[in-house]
Amino acid sequence: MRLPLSWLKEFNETDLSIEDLANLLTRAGLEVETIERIGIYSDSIVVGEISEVRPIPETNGLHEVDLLLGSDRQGTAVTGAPNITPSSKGARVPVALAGATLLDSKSDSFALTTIKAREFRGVKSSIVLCSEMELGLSEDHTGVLLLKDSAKAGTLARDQVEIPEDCSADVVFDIDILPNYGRCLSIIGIAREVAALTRTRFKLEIKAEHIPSDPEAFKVSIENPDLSPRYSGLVLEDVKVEPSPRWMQRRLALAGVSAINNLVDVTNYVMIEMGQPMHAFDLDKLPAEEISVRAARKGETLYTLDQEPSGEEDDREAPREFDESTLLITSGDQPIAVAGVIGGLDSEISEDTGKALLESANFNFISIRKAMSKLKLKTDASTRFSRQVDPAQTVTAIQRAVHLLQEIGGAKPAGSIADCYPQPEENRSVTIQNSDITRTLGVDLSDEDITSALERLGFSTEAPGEGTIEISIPGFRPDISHSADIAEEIIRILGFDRLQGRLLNEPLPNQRRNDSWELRKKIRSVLTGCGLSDVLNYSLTTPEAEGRLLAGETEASEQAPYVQVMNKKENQDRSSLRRTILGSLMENVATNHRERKRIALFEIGKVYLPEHSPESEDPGDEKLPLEVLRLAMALSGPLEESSWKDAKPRDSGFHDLKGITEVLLKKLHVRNSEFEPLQGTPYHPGVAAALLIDGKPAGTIGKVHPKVIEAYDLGKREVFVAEFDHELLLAASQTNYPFRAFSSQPAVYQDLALVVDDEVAAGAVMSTIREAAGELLTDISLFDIYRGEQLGEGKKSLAFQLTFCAADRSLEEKEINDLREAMLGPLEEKLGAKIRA
Amino acid sequence: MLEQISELKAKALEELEASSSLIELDEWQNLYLSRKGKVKSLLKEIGKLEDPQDKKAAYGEINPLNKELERLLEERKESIQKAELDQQIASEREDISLPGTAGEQGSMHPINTVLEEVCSIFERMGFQIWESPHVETDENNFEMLNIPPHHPARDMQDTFYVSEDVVLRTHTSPGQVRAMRALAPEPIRVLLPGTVYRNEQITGRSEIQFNQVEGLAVGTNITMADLKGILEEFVHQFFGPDRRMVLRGSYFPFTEPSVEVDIDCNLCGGSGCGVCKKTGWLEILGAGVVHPKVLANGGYDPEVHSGFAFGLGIERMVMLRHGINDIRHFYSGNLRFLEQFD
Repeated sequence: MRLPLSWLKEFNETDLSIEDLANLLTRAGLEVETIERIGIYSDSIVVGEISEVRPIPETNGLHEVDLLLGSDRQGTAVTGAPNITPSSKGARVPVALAGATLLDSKSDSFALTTIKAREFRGVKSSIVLCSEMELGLSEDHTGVLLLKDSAKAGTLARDQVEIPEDCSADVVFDIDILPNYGRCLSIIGIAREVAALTRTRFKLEIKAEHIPSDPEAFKVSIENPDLSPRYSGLVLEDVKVEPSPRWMQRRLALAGVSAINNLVDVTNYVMIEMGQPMHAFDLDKLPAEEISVRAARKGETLYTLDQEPSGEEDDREAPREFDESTLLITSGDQPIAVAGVIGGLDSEISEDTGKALLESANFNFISIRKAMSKLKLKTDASTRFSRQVDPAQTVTAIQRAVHLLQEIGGAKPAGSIADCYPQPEENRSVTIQNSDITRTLGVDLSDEDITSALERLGFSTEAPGEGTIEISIPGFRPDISHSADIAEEIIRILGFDRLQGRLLNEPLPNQRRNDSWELRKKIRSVLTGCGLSDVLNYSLTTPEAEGRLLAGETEASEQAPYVQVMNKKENQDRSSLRRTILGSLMENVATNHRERKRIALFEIGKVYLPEHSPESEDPGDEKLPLEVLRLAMALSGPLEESSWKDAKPRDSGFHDLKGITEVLLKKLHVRNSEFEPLQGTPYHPGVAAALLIDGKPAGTIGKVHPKVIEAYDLGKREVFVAEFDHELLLAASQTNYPFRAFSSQPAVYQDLALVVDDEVAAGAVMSTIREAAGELLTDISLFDIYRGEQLGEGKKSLAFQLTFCAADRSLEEKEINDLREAMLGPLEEKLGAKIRA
Repeated sequence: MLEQISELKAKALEELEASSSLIELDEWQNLYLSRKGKVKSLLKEIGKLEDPQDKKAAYGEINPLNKELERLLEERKESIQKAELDQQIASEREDISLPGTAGEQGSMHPINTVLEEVCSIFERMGFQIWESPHVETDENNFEMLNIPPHHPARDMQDTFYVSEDVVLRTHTSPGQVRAMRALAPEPIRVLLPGTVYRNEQITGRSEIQFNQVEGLAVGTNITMADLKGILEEFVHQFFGPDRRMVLRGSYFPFTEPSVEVDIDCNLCGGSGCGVCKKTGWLEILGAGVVHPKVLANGGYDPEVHSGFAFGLGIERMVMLRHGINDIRHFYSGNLRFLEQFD
């Protein structure tokens, strides 16, 4: 909503500075987004001292003027003003700098112009010397305004002149109107707020012509009063369509509405001033002398005012088409306007109009919102109706319009106002207790504090005592119904500074630890410590993007189902919620592929599966998909960045990612975990494993299949990824893990090299050793794997260091040797392992 | 014999002087002072002397010689050890200007860092983390929060619909309803962090996905003054003790009264700049007193209970803190962005 301050001042005489007023409105919920200063009010119009004037050759009296602009600033302007001559040296003049908005002196109608850099006959200039008219001080455009010689160069020009009451310069606030501030889509509405906030008088003196209303004056019928509570109309005669006067054009232009003609301008003027949208029909062009408001029938059409044909008749777009959700104004059963949104083109006011019908009606806000979203059309009228307009003001608005029409001479009323108002709205009221307000706001207020704030906002109140306050709610406040609404009004008007901050003086509620949240923090800390970077990705993807993980082994049609959004934007691909984090991480690898050799990432995030959540408590949750929290990791490229110590660090491999996983499992104190060979996408069939925790599958880890690498366009890069179920990690993790006593007895270290067939898993050898050695074996580490001719084809040697230690004694050599012997039997029997000779 | 002793002495001293390493010194010690060394063999020969006078005289010479050689050996050893250490130290200079080497470190996503920090501030004030689904019913996301049909906030343009009555949550607020229903009639202090979704064009200023933290307190004596106090505490802990905070009237369907919370702009110090749109104030979050209808929907009696709620956008906090001007960096997965954060 654009608010010219000169218009505001018709209803309120606040003397606050522009900045303070803007700040006050902003704090009270009427956020002033921009302040536009026009003409003399501009901050970009300063005093210039003329230092030299040179005639421009071969022009008719044009001069090039050098100016001092204060603080060593200078500038050059070009002017044709007769009162600027070489003898003007030393004169002080108002200079508009680039960006200043002046009143346009060339246009017949009211218009604004903004100063930009330009070039004239080789003279570059971005400043302009101003006349009184350009500054908005008067209609005088005969020459440049000359200021007093005492004026200091570079200071604001507005401080050097007396600004007349009726000046055309102005300051315009652009205010963001919140959904429940519909009343402030009018000058009067904002003026009432300003008066309440500044404790100044609100002058509701709308000059209106009294015209009686008569239900029989013109035939109006309303099909459904719930959707269209009121319709008032007045026939105008002796219509003389011409441009409206400059003052009205000026007001409309400053408020952001283009002037069209006197009749239409008056309807817009009343709408901006009072918030009551109006419309004027050419009466002679209506199909019948009758108006009826009804729902559209499916397929009915109408050309609306925004569909003015511009070129060839053949190129014309189709008329708007309606269905039952849209309310129409009809005449003789023909659509003539979309109720509360826009008029029809056929009944538009034109130069030929002799008689007109002035409409001032009220429509249900939900019905208007439906029509707006159906037609994808937002107008000044629909914006207001969609925020609820007071039905009480339809007749007053017509009377105001008639007064304005008589003032500017556009038309005369013919007869009485037809007013169809089948179910007049009842006055609403609410009774509150002073203590309700204290309970909401946390500040003690007197009854007087409360009633005076409300009275200033247009409520009437009565305080019969004992803290009871009876409040009657004016029709323009449909947003108010209970004590919380009243509390907001009071604190908004008194100012939020009245609240003294307090730190919850209630007992602490039961505290509950969120184990899942805490575990995620821990995982992030462990994995960043392991050199992996935390990433976040979109939940939305496409089945095609994620399908790249399938290595071409599954047909798109056989892909698992996705949770999909129905209404994505056309130029936006992301349509489906991801089923795995691995797709996101592979995209991240691709993003960094060319910039980085080493890529090490992890994400903790959700995946979404179309099956229903099994353990939901809420019956509504049956409709919701299953959301599963997972941890995924990706590792690729050299283990470390190369440095002067190690120019070619080795590339990461499967066991590096497995190692990181093991570090994580150790730090989470997950006890029973094992890795089992795995076949499945997106993995290389020979380099993949399933992680089992307590025997349950908890996720997968492996090398990405070469076909998947190709699908992500990663060249020769090798990528290792893993994805684990966060809930299973959480269930298996321990924070209260037991301390295990260690022995103070000396440990004995022994090496053991075994030769086995290549297929034998090292893990199986290690678990066989552990089983056979029992609890005296406290540690086992594999320190060498060797394949070579002397071992024979298909054989490998595994070298272990074994640590033996007893809790209560120092071990004898014989004991160790016996243990060693005891291991060799099962190793040979189960795995064919032999001691390496 | 005495001559032999003095010859031995002269030779031993000369060789000791000539030795320059601990190894040579060991050899010298072997040659002269070991069990089979020259001193011992001379002693044996002296033992074989017949004349007691000669014997006595020879012992008188050789015993002090033995002691002296041992003393000189120790001295020599010390001086060689010192020389060797000096030489070792002299040879061990490092170019301390060479770049340091460390194992690779991962970075935390700045959203998670700030999310954890914001949550921990409120956790210290007794708020607890409560999470709820990303995919929500229309009922929880809108209706229970006093956003009736055809309310502007339900515009099809802004909401991702999965079906007629299921949406990707547009705010963390449906968690308020879930927390209240789970905990009523207990008093509540919860924090609802998480990802929310908007059906927008992805540009430098708008995203389809971002993160919020919402706070909810419900009890029998909770007022707007408590809201103001708690938020002031947050502002001072997160932005710094000198930052000023003001409340400004606003509108949210699920709170009444509703406010926006502004802090003074740290870039211009309140005088007005591009970041604060020349107002001197930065909008950081929305808040208000829980609407009676929402309390009732959550299972609390609005005549007895009251509460406050607030919600802040984590991306905005991160952007303000680090001067990031393009919201698209957050989900880019680009390490050149991510690695700048700890």
